Amino acid sequence: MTHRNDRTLKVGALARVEGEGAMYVRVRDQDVEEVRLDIYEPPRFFEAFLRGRAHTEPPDITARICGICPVAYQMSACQAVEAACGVTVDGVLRDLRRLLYCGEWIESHALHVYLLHAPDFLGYAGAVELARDHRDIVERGLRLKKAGNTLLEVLGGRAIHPVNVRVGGFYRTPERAELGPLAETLRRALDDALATVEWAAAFEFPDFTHDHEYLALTADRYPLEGGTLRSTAGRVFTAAEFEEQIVEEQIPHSTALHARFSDGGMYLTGPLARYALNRDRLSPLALEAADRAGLGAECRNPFRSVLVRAVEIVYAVDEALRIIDGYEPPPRPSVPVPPRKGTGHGVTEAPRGTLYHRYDIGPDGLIRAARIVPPTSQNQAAIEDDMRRFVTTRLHLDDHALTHQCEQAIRNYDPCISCSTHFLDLTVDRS
Amino acid sequence: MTIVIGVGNDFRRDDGAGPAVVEALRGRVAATLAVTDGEPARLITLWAGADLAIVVDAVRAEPPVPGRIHDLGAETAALARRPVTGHSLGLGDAVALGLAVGQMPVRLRVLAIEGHDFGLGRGLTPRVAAAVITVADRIAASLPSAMKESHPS
Repeated sequence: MTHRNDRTLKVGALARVEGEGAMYVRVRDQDVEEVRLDIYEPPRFFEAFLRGRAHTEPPDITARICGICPVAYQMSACQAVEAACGVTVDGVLRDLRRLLYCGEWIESHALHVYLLHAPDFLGYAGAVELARDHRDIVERGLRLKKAGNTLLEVLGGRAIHPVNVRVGGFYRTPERAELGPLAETLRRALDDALATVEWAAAFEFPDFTHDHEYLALTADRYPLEGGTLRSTAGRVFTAAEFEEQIVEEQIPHSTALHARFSDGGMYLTGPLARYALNRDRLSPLALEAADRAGLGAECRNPFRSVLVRAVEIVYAVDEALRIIDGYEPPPRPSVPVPPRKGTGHGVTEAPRGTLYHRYDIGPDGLIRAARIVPPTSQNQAAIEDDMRRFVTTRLHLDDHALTHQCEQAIRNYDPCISCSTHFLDLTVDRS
Repeated sequence: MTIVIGVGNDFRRDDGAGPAVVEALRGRVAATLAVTDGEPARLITLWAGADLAIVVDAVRAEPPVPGRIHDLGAETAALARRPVTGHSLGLGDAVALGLAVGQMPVRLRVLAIEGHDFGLGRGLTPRVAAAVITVADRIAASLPSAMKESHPS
């Protein structure tokens, strides 16, 4: 039985997000009683899977958690294992890791901007419909994505789960000449990236803002492969302090854990947070693009995250070119990382936000315990909070329109349910 | 150019059927062999410009008949209209997008194997493992034998 003023909106299958899951919204007498991002796939057992494996194995094993951001998993894993073993990988090898990470950002952001998010702003059901009317635009997105893919292939050995990354560095580092054609590809991609920002800046964005605390790495350069965690409320901590600062709690409706600050505060990680905390570290070209697009000191409208992603594509292409231009092959492709008993922590910036790994290594070099906190589970509480406020101001819409807008709003966060557990669906309920 | 593309994740049990078929074809056929995760832009990049692309993927069906093989010829338009695989961005999207941007192989053949268990872990269920051998044999019989082979991504 439903009361006239009660309604339940259910979106059983969220389209255009990575993975599968569901959104459930219950409205009673004009009050939004409940909003849940349901993640019902079984949790990933990678943490258990890693126990008893050699300290050299996490980069290859954890890369398989996600087909979209395997490099992020490899980078956080390497950093954590190296920290446990007391080894720092720096110089050219660190630059090469950064270069590889640029490829992943380009590919992942181009996928989200063009194929998943842009159709919402342009009134299309999806990328296919967009392509039928604007083939040149979708082709530009596919070219950008391919440029990122090519970078991953050249440096990582293959695009999906790169095989050239190892604890301590790489199995093989490229010759200078091998990077020449890649630089040509990236120079062309830079024009496409700048055009993307200009194109996205003309979208019409719904009027909606949030005031979440933003959390991102900060470093000398725009953060990718490491740095210090900072928040917009002034928190500062290292990867090693992550578990003191952030707690994960079980939520009945989700197989992903919800992360919060240890004092109970929710936070948001990802492009909006990175931009707010690192805008002044963008390259001049990316900063200029951001300014032209009208992005201020920080962006508080999650719908405009598509614009921040576009700026980050410009940055990633520009940064990749900078690294290639200054590249001299290192004397050896990796530094030795002999195992030792200890615990190590790693945090890097996956396309969707901060990705934390911790490994406890035994005296025999085998992993005793592993902990992985992906960005989507960190963002889940903030996403639900945004959805609650978003729905509250749109209760006048009929179920179909409201459901559609909820789906769009969820896509703002580019949720990677594949990482946090696996798949996602959406349900809106006005019971 | 002929390419055989195995779609799937071999850490999700029967979802690894496509990659398993590709493994079974190594050294047997004169074709490019590739494994990917079903993300449409990647699929399009792999098959664009090919004379023949054979895509092997695991599917869920209702009611399920694990190990049943669906051999879809040139039904690309039909594929584009409905989701074919368990992937949220699947083969149907790739075909539709490929058609929209004019990046399709001259001929596309899809061999779909019905899976049973898509849970976490490695290893195929017995009927799916048997279907992998059948599909690999069927593809091998339809293509020239290997003279040399290339291994992209």
